[in-house]
Amino acid sequence: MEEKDFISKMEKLKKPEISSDAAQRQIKLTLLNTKKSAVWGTWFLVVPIFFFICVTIKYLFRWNWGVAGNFLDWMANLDKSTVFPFISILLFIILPGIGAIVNLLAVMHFAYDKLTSELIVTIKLKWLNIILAIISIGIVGIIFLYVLTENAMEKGIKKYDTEKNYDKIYRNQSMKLHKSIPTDEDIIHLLIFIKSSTPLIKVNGCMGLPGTYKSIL
Amino acid sequence: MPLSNEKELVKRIKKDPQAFALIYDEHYHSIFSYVFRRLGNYDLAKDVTAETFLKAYQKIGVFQWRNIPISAWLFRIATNEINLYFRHSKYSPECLDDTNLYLHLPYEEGIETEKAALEKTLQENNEFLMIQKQLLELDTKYQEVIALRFFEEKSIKEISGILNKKEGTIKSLISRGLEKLRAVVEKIPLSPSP
Repeated sequence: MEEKDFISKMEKLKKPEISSDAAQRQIKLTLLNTKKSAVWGTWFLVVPIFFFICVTIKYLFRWNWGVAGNFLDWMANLDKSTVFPFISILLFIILPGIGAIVNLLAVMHFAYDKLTSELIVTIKLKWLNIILAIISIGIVGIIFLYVLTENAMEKGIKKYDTEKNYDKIYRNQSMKLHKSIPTDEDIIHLLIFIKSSTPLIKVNGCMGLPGTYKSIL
Repeated sequence: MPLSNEKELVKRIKKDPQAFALIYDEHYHSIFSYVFRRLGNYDLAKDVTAETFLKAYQKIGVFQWRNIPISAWLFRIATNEINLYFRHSKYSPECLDDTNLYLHLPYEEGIETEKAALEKTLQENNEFLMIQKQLLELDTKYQEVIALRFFEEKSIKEISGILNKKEGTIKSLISRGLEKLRAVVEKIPLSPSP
């Protein structure tokens, strides 16, 4: 075939008619509303992860890294501050929580098929998003457990102190009571005193005249 | 759309990104047709077209007007995406993955019907299908120019604007590409059309 003929054939080539309405409709709105959500989930973890790195460096490896020490001091001061007491909650619970939700939503999709009455849950295996979600949940979990154990320990210490005090008090009281328990001799002296000083006295629920005490004795 | 209108539209989109919908509506069909005719696969064509418009949407903010139609810019992005597909054994659209576009697409009833119809149409056009398959055997630089010239019926000037190459280079690529294609096609006997 000559080149000219081939070019003519190519120009006259019957091309398939293309329909793209359905694809066009499907993608349009979603495309116009896209945002890069994966990045957000990463930024929310920066401070908590850096905090854990600093703690690990300082307390586990015992490495005196200035930046880690300064950061931990700053966090401690922040927590004690009366002006921004909620910042630690924001950085360690709220933001990682949001990061976990954002990354989970990024890999999960829910669809309801009316025809078969099925709820279809799709999980896309995007490992970066999944790992970030796990780390976020892990951070929230660790902080939550830390708060729980710290509270439990405080209560335990308080209870111990209280019991210790009670024990002390009890011992003291017991000693006092023990001292105040009269001996038999004491009772005899008491009765003699009562007999001599009181004409009439109730003894064992009975009114008795002086002189009846001889039977007791 | 006249060039002056397109220039205004680009300015408007930079202030109001939702106005990108106008470009999407105007050019989706032509881009999808080009991609589908080059790749011959509906799902792949949908992926590549979505990636093309997504990249365009994300980059429209830094788009600099150079007195070239927006369609040329879109065709260039689509051509690059197709080349990306050919370069990697497993095509992974970057922006689609980042934004999880497909994860949040609404259910569209006509999709399967449209896909079946297009694939059937492709099979019925024997001659086109044969040329398209043989074209895939050529180097991408020849595929681009031949597909734009003969499948999309673009002029040499338009192809030059799309691929950002000189017109002389385009003519030379078309000539050499057709020579190679002719050599391959002449070895295969054509089956009669239904």
